[in-house]
Amino acid sequence: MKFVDEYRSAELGAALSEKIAGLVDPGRHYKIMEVCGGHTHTIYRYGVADLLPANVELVHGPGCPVCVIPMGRVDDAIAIAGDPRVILTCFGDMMRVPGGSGSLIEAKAAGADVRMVYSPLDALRMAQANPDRDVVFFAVGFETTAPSTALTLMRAKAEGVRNFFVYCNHVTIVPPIRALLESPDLRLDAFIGPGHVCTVVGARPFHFIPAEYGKPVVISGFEPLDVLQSVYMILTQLADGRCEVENQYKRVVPHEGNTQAFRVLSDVFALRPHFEWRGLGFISQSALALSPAYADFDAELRYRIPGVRVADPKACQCGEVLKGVIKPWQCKVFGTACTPEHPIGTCMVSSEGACAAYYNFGRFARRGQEPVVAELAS
Amino acid sequence: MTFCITCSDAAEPMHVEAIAGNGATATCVDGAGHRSEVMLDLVPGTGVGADVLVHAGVALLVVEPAR
Repeated sequence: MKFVDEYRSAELGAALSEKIAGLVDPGRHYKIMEVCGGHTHTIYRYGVADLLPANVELVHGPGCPVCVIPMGRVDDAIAIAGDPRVILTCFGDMMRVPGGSGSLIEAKAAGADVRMVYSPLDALRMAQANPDRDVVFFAVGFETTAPSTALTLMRAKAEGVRNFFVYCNHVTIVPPIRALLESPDLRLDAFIGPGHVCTVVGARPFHFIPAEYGKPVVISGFEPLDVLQSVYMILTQLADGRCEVENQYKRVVPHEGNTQAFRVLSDVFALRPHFEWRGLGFISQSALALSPAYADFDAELRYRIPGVRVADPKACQCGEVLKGVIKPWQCKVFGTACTPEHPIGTCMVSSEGACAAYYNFGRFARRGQEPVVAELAS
Repeated sequence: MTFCITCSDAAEPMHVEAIAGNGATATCVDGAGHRSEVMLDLVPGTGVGADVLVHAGVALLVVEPAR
């Protein structure tokens, strides 16, 4: 398949791995953060880290939108779903994210009308098919997903749909990266940039990272060779003493992004003054709410929402995992109390969460190298 | 291909099979033969037969045809 096979070639991977080994300074430890959960998934699934020298460490970042939703927001969604008028719709993974009082799938089991959709447009169609019910879409995601919600709302408005609402939890990628860069407990050398977010926002929003923090960024695709080549490009920059934003994913990402998407986003959304991120706390101007022009569709205005802040379970260390401070297997409950079947933390829910990705693909590769925690549950 | 539909950074190549009257909504088919309704607003001028990268029901860009 074009765009896939050529990026999974074992020979090319081995050659790149050799070139990378020739680039690193053996006396230096390199910490490279992949911001996006898609990259984390690829790294574990294809064993990309095994092709890197021991002193090149990949740190998993906060770019899985399911993983960064705080428990309180899940509880709010459950509260909305508790209204008998409501059909609450969401993407599949969101149903299993634990809140302070259970998950949406548990609420569904208890009688709430919660349904999975593949896109906000499916939710809008559901609203049109059920005119006597309120259909609420639990919107999560970064800039890649936000245009989908925005375009659906524009259609709902144009088509005069009055029973479709959005519970908006869209977030933006740049503020948490800045928060991580300011974090004293995490020292990073470079970033692997989020490829599909960049199809919308382009490369420009990432220029502050080399300009203000002196760290290279390489926007990367999602196949194993994409990630490996991005690591190579980063190490080349570091070896040359350069520091800039480079685009490894040129076959998809235009430098300027999608200007049409920018227009749509600015019409439908407004920046929230602040928003709570799981593990990162409150970050200012890091999330989107519906703009006043779309107030009629805003679930936060229509329903009584508790808005209670819920502390993460004590045993769960998702926060540290999301910041890349610890690896998934270093969490106290990883693979024992917390598994993909019974997640305690959000990182174990989505297949792109660092813990689930490691649990599914990486734990056997490390056998013998780390204290045996992962295997206890299996 | 396994990927997370929720993640903001997953997108899937799909083929535009038919376009509705207003030109903004299409029926697209993925590599496994699944069909879905896709919004074309961000890739204006896209016609039947094009390959697009789709995320959460929106075509984000047109990918070059397979050679």
